[in-house]
Amino acid sequence: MPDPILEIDHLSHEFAGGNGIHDINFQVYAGEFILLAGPNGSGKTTLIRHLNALEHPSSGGIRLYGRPVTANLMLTRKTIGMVFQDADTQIVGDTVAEEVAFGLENLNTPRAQIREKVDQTLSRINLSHLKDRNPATLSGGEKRRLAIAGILVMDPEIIVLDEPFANLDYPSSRHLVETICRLNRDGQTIIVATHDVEEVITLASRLLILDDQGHLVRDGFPAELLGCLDRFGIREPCFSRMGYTAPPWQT
Amino acid sequence: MADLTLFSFNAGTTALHDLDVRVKTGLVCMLSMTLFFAGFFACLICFLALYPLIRSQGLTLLHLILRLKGFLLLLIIMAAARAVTVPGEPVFSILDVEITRQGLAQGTLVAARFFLVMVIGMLFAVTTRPADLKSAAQWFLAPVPFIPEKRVGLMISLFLRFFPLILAQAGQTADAVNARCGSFRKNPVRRIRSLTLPLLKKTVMAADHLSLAMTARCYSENRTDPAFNPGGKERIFLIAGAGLCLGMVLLSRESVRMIFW
Amino acid sequence: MPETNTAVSQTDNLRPMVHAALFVALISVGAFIAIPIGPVPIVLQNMFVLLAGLLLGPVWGTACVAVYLLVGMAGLPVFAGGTSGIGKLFGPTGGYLLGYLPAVLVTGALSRFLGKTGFRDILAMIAGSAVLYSIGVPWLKLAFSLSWGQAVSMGLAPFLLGDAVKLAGAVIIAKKIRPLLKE
Repeated sequence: MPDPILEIDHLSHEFAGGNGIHDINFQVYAGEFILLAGPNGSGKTTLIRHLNALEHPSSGGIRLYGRPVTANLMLTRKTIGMVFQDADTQIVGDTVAEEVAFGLENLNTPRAQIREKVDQTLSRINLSHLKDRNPATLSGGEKRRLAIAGILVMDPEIIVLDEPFANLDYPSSRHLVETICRLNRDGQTIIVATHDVEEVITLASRLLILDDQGHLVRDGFPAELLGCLDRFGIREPCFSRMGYTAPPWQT
Repeated sequence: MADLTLFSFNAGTTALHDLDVRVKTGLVCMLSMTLFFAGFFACLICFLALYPLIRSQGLTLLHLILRLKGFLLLLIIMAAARAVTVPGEPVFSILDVEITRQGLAQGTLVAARFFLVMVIGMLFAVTTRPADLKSAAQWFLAPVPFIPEKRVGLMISLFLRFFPLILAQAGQTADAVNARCGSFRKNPVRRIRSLTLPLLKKTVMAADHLSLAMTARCYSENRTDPAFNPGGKERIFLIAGAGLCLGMVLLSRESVRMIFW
Repeated sequence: MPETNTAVSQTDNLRPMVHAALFVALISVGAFIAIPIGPVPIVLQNMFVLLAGLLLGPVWGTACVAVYLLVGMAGLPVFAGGTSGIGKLFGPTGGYLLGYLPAVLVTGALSRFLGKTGFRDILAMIAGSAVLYSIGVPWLKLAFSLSWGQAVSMGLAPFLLGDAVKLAGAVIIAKKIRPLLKE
């Protein structure tokens, strides 16, 4: 087996009043599509914010290619890109192109190279036609894809998405699922944190389940874990509830 | 699309739109400072020189007056105040107030200067993308010591992000307060509180979220410099602008002398 | 661990900057929000300036007002009534705008020096307002060639009642928002 990109090692984060997360262990390998599922308040967001050192653990640690993620923060955050849940409050730029360029500007990339990479990324994610638009005027789905473009432009090893399907209508969700799948097929490692697994469960290569106490209770193939989701406060996908196998539309 | 109309920028392809924002800023500063000394003729020349540019934006004198009406009123009051207070030979008198020729001249001149400065500012605002303003500010502040120009640039960017957001949220908060009959409260302090506190809480949380997202995207102050897109007519505009300023100074030797001697 | 220290200092620098940018926007929006009280509606702009002093401190507060004046001067419609430009800044009422700069500095410095309780907040804001009017009123007097009595009755007296209300509101707001900015 190849070396993992990320190793999460006995990670705990205690909150003064709340649950936090407790003794989390798992590894992330290149090319995986990991679904991190759990009810609201189970600590999904807390957990993924440790991955790029936005939060500091109470105990335990995370290693990126064998070194602690805190060793080189710029490298860590460039390698592990994060798309936040609220699409509106993560936009910095005044135009779509500028928004995508933000990360590269932070890395002090030469302007010509930035232009080239931004154009490439926008066309990869089908946003080229909106290049000069004000991000505030985009639809919910477009904003979500713009946020992904802003991360993708920095060539991350892993893209982490926090509740990417929240507040999206059906066509936008479909479009987003397609985008994520395409990236994964191209070799991009993906982690999606969500409380509703319906859209993506058949596409993920691995399913992690956090219970409402913040413990990692399951880690396995999605197909094998179907049927026991309700027990952990996660809604069973429709097809599984009805006793069917996975529908083909997602592939 | 409220955020697009909020700022006075009008998208377009006129010569002023294509002009490099640094040159435009420089010209605005140069002309505004020259106007400070300008006499009557210089003001007139300046207005005549500006008029084709005003027309190129599809504006007329009437538009200007309508857009600046609040400020014009202030100017008229100011001119009137000068007219009655500056000593000199009386032209006519209303009731007991004497209006002097010198006062009238001085008041009109000051009003004319301010009006022209406002017009120049408006031409600039109408033809400059807010994002370019940020780049220009950063560029001009770069040689100034002790001013972290990249931080200023980023603050302007963030301001451009927050401004429409907060304006919209202020409207929503007001609606929510009204829906709960908050506007019937008599106590004005509680009214300020019920309007402002939810707004601040929401926006501070949004701001914290944004700074987290920026951190996640490797925010650093050692950033790539902004890009500029010169349209190719910068030199013509600079020469014409400098010529205009020189001409205006020559025409207003008298008022220059008044200020320096 | 030195690495985590750099992480902390970087985010420490970023958060107050984002907050300061937020207050630039709040001060600008303050020019548009009017609350009808009595015959003269009160505008919340100067309240946000004083709040910036209380909540951001003297350094970031001053930076915030400086950027506000800069974007207003550059032509964004952020001055009272959605106006802008150098002309407005140096026009007859420009003293009230340029006065924000020392006002926020004084309020921020005093609040840091005195400590942060409701009563001291009020003292700091009264001092800030005094600085603001001590620049705005003489400026108005010069521009309109008024006598001192006229300048005070035009440029100070009509605002006092509204300012008292705003100060009272600002104290409550400062108390509630401060914990959010700290963490």
